[in-house]
Amino acid sequence: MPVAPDRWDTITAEPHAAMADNETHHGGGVLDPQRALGFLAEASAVLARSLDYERTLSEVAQLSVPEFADWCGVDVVQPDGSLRQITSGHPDPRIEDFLMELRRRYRQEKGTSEGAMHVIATGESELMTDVRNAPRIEIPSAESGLYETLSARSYMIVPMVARGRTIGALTFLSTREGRNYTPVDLDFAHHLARRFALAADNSRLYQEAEEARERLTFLARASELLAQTLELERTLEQVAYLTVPRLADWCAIELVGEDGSVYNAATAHTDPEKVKFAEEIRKRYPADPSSPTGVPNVIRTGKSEFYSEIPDEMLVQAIDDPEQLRLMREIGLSSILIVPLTARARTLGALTLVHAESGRSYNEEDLRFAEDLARRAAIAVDNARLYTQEHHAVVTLQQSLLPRQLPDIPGIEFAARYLPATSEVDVGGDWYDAIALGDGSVGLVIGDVAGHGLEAAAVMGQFRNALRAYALEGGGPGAAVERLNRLTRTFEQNDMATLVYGEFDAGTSSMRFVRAGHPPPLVRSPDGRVTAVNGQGSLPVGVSPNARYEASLLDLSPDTTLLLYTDGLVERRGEALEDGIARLERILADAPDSLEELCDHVIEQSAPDPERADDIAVLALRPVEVDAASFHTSLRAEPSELSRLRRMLMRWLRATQATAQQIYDITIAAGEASANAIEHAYGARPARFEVEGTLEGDTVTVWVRDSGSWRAPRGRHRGRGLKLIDALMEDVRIERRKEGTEVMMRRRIGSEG
Amino acid sequence: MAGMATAIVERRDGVPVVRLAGEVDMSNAPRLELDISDVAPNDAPGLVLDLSETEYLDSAGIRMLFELAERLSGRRQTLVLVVPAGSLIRHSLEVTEVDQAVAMHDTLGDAIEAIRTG
Repeated sequence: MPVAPDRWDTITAEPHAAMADNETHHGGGVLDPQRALGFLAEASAVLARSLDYERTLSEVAQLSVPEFADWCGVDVVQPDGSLRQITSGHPDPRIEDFLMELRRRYRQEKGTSEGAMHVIATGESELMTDVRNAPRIEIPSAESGLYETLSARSYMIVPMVARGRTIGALTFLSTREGRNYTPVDLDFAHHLARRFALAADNSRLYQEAEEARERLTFLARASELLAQTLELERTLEQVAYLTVPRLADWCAIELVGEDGSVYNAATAHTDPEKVKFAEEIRKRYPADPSSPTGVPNVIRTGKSEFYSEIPDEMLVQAIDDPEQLRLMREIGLSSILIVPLTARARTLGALTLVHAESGRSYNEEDLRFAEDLARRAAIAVDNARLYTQEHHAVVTLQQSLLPRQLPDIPGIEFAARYLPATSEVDVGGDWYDAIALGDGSVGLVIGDVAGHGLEAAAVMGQFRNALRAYALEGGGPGAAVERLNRLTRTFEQNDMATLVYGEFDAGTSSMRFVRAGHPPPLVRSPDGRVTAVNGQGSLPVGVSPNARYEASLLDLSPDTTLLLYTDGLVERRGEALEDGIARLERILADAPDSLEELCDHVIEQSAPDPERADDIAVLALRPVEVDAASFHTSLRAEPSELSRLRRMLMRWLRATQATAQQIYDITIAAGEASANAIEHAYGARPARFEVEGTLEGDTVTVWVRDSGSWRAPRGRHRGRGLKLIDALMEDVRIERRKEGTEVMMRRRIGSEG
Repeated sequence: MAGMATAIVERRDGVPVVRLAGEVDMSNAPRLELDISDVAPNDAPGLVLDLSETEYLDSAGIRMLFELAERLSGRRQTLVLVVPAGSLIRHSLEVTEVDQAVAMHDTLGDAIEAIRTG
């Protein structure tokens, strides 16, 4: 059927002008003025109620039918420039489909030269008074029946203008006998379109505001999540789950690992089965890092990728493997956003939002939003990594400030532990110290600087060194802590610390101590009874320059155990400190005798969770009577253990009648045999060696046993160890056995040497 | 323990002097040997190693003394030790014949003098 333009009345001018120029079948409009007003009022009322954009558009389409038209179409310009169509719908679905198909062909054929596209492009309306026998485009004969049934008579297309912007077009179609639109109707349609446009625009703005608010709320929530926890992967998972299903059907976050490889840090979908499914696909078809598109590309370039639609051809093109293609089709991707996680100019990963089964599609606004979210997530990732580094720095500093070796003082056993908090930010200012004072007594410190992180660790270093210095000045614990307290006034911040400082005198087997705002020391007597010793409690150091620190006296007879600790050992959330201390008392009562094992026991029992919210420092001391008759120890086969062995040996030998030279010579001999055990006897696996000693009469015998084989000394200047042992001891025997080597050395001690 | 031994370097009458305080064993001897051998400039006649404050010196330390002496003599420089009378380490230096290879003096003054008069 050929197009016959001469049979058409076409108005593409202003409605009033059009009215003047045009001949119509009716002098007035299809509505009488009274009804028109009533209709308009009704329409306005309906539209005013609706703030939902989609619903508003639908109402617009519905309202005019059948009063003013038999079919109404609303075409709205989308943010991406495409047209969105909403119609009143035709009672006959076949006709509706046919109409939509006609419109599609019409658009294809005419472009913006006429029709809704033209109206929107130019802001000018179109009026077709009578199209009964002459459709604007060719109708194939196969469809002529449908066209007959549709029986289009007349139509109008008017622009929807709101706030100076053409937001779309309204098409009114009349199929009713005798209802042919006139310029008066066009005028009314214009009026109607303005109202509709304003209502639609209002609801759009409202919706945008609402969405913006929702997004802000979302971002606020996401930011909160990202800020509050530094457990990176869990946070990212939470953020990913925050996006589904509202913003995405799927959300995935990939990060670049330390080795540069990309790994999935989080995947979210409302259905956990689908998450598993995605993981399965990921495992079977790992992303190609050199892929020109997708996550690898976004991470490589730092630029977002945005696919508003994913036509099947795109999948076919992107995926070679038929099985993978099948699986991807099963997911049913409809739209994808991939945005980079960028912080401090580095791309740390990518955030992927996917619409799948919901059939939604992303637009530019969504892209901006996703980029905003990704920026925040990136900062969190970056922070978490920095914190990890800081955690490492703090722990390193902390441990460099703690004594590497406790002093060797005859008659006193020591053991100490320091465990940093596991959470990066919580590592802080706990410390312990043991200072050999000039007069033969020993200063003991356990302290806790207020605050956490690098700064607290640094402040701890100041406190520790200052207290060491004041302790060595003499004057007793009260004077030392008072000086420390006065010194804090010169510290830059209001640095504060709780501590216990005591000076133990082996001569009197007692300790004078100051307790400054710190949990009380615990004492376990040889019969196993445990008591908390509060003494004279004082203010924490650094609180008041006038604070007084008075020492209390505590008797520590041999085999009594003193335990100093920081609150990380006793504090539990929602529990009174007193209850924590009472618990520690019970734990200490049951702890093993060996001081090292005792320390391990109280930590394991008091803080079994490997995740520590706070630092823990423990210092244990026990006055002992050295048994001159025998000596025994087992040590790790490492060079650093030699100095420990010397201290223990010397302590034992001092309890015998040996002279200083004899003590030195025996220690050298035993040290040589031990050095040989360390140097020669072992492979890569960790090993130990044993040193045993006895005093029988005036004869000291020392055995050094290892589980390796004694190798012949190699190289120049070697072999002097054996020579030394031979020269310094009177009787030396080396026994090489299958299970190891034993060196026995013996000499007399006493005034004769 | 890093602070097990400290080497303090000074110059007395143009002679480099290293005062070695603390304990020397296999855990720190190799490092100390390198540090000490760097102390004597090429134009110095030798080096005094003062062991007055050395509390412990086992065979690893003794080996260090021999190797130091060799290294210096390769540069035509002399190593002289200060080991006070009554020092606990003296006995083990004697039984390993360190005194046969390296001159040992009771005082720092004697040691410096020995180097200056070469």
